[in-house]
Amino acid sequence: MNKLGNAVFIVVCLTLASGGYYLALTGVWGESSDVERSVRVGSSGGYGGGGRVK
Amino acid sequence: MRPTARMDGRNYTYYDSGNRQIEFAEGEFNWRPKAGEVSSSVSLASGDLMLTYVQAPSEREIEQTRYVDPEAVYASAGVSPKWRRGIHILQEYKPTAGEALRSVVAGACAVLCFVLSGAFSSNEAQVLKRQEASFQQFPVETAFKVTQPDALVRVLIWSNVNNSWAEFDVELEDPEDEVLFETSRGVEFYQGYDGGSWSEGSTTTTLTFRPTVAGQYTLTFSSPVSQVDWKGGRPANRLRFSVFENVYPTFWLSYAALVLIILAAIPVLRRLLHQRRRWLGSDWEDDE
Repeated sequence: MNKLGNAVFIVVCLTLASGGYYLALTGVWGESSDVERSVRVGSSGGYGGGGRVK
Repeated sequence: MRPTARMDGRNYTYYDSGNRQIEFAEGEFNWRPKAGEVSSSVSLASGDLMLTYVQAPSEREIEQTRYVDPEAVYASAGVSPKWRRGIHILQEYKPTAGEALRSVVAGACAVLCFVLSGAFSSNEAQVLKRQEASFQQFPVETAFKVTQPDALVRVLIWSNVNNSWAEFDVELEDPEDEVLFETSRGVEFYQGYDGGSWSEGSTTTTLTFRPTVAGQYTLTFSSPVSQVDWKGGRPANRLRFSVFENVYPTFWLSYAALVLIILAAIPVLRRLLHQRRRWLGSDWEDDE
């Protein structure tokens, strides 16, 4: 792999790490949301509704 | 186990054996080749060197062969090969330019992801200690204070289901006493023995939400229902829960770390694959 290939590879690695950090920091996860109230509810394990905003 | 031999500090490992016959010879020799002469040989390889034990009718020899870089040979003849066939047993792995650097960068980024994930996880704070209530006490209402509205809040819920399921309604009020949302959560857990012990489901679940503002929130559990769904089951009658704030979805960092680990391991995998292809032509079988 030439220098450009190595540079692209390094950029991909840094993008992966920073992308993971950004998504973890901004709290993006498998939630259901209600735009009007900006309330987002989600779950893991068990079962149940994603949530309903009154 | 493959036979081995040692010469000049190198360990040679068995590669193949058989009989060979001279059909045509051209070049310079320190012996006299004779057309049709048959000899038996046993070859062992180590890196780019091969040892061959040759038993001819009139003599016994040990030959040492060194792999010649085909690129250099072709270049010296001023030609370039159209294609190359497979991997030769004496052809050692040649790392591509920057291969080690790429592995180090990908590995370092993976470590960074794990460190960040750990840092996020260590920031989680319990804002409501574990509380337990029986279904007879429902509805259960409890308040907790959220100080970090930018992160997620997670409610961990447990119920004593056993070959049964349980479900309850959950309602959350914000600091202005307005109902933020209502939802339901359920758990189901089954276990048994069928030629071996098995289990399915979980006695826990979570409720995760993004708070709108900092302040005191009120969580209410109501309408518990539980039913036995499997032999030997017992309906649930208790609920336990606790609340954590400053929660971050660190699985994103785990996914990134996984991909980075694979990228870092590619040279190792290539080296292993090369090694495997080198020895494909060997006639050794381990079950012999």
